[in-house]
Amino acid sequence: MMQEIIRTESLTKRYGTHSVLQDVSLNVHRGEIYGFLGLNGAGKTTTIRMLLGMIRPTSGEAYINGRSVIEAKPDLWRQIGYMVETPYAYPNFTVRDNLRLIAKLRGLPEKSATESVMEKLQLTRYADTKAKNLSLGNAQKLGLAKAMIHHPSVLILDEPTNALDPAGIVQVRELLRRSAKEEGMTVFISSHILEEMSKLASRIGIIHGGTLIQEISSQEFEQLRRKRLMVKVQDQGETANRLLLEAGYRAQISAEGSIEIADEQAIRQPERVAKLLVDANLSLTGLTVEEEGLESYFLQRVSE
Amino acid sequence: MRLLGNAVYVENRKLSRSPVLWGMLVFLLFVTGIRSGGADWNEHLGSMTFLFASVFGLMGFGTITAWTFGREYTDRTVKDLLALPVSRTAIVIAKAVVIAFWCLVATLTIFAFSLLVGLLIGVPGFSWPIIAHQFVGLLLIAVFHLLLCSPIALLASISRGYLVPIAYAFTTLMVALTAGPTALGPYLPWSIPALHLSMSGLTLFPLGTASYVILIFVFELGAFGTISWWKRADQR
Repeated sequence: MMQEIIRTESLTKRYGTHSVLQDVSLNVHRGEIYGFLGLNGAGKTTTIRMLLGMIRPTSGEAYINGRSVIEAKPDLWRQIGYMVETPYAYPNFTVRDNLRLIAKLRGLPEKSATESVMEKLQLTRYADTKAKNLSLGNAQKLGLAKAMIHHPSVLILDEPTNALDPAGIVQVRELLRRSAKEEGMTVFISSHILEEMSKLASRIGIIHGGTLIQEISSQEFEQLRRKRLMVKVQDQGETANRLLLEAGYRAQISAEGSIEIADEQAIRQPERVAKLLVDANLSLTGLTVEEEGLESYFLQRVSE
Repeated sequence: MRLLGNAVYVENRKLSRSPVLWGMLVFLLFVTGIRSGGADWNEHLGSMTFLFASVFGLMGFGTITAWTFGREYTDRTVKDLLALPVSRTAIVIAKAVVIAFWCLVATLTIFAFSLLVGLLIGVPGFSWPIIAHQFVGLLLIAVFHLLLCSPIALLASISRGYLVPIAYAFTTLMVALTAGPTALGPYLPWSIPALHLSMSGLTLFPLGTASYVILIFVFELGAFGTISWWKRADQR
């Protein structure tokens, strides 16, 4: 059985009568990258702050490594790295100095821990740059370096790729993947960027309006990403659909009246479908390969 | 214990490199310099100690305290201090230790500066017993003002910045100056140090016990309030 690292039980937060989070129950296993997906204001940061013991739940509990985060002694945080919202650092301290402060607070050997994490995140060339002079992307990397300086076994990140450029995003994605795969690091990562989550996470939880509305595995993701051949014929949709079914295609008429074919063969060779329909004297008006965007799936789920 | 030591080390590094600390020290030295002189050493050093009892303590120590706690919110770095192997209580204690240390360093620096200025301008009647007496008096005033700093730390934490606690320090200065000479004076925490100084020629602790208990009570209120706030309040 997979070891459970993060668990929340009916996590709820209310400020007065305003409810921010309702009954969020989730669990994340060792070595898993759990993507926590939601629009701005959905409750992602509140959940993350509760996981880190920064906000007390109105009801419910959050556990890391089986220990309640609210009652936990500080040693619980020894194995946990985190970055909440936009990362900030002491503006008049250099990158190196900022990291040294964190290394000291975590009881690490300052010099080696700092140099090693700067190298890992390609920050060495900015080591002597004051934090206030960093670009947004490098400030984000500094935040990640602070979170990873102690080689944590659990990493909790709130929108970590927000300000990164495409190269930085790939670099961080690979770093997290490798850490999860090779070191068994458990990653809980929030984002509102669906595409990014789909590339990184092994499981995704969708939160909306403070409620966890769905959890999907990466396999389910792949299914969602499946392409479909959309066929449009003039007037005789039913006839065309029957013809395609008889020819062995898994065809069905969509709500918009088009015919959807999910077979891989049809997607790879749409001209065969076209020939079949034209030979049957059906007027083909459209033939397109469409990919069910995760974006549209997500928007559909949160609007339900 | 080692982690508490590390926290003190980190807090010291942050404060000792802060322009607020050095700017404040320069300002206090400047004011001390222009208020120097007198008929004898008692008057010369007494005038400097009075500055501590009235303005330097409430505004100088207050500003350093407000900055040490408030900067974590204005720099938005407080979240980096909340989930560490070192407890939040230890972080608050480390900040308090560093504030006390640097306020005492500032006090000693100003005392040494005042001595030097007195010698340079030739204040008459130098004697070691006078210097020792004034030094003990100044240290007591500094300690009283350090006790009054804890509510400032609490206000900085609650208000998430340093403006409100600095405004509070300024207000307490006004209250001390206006209400200090009245019958309420010995019971107003912020006027107690100046009243203590004005009567200290007679005994070491010339005010009633209640006055000193009030100072300790205010300190405890601020200290426990700040620790509780860091430990229990939602850190949004």
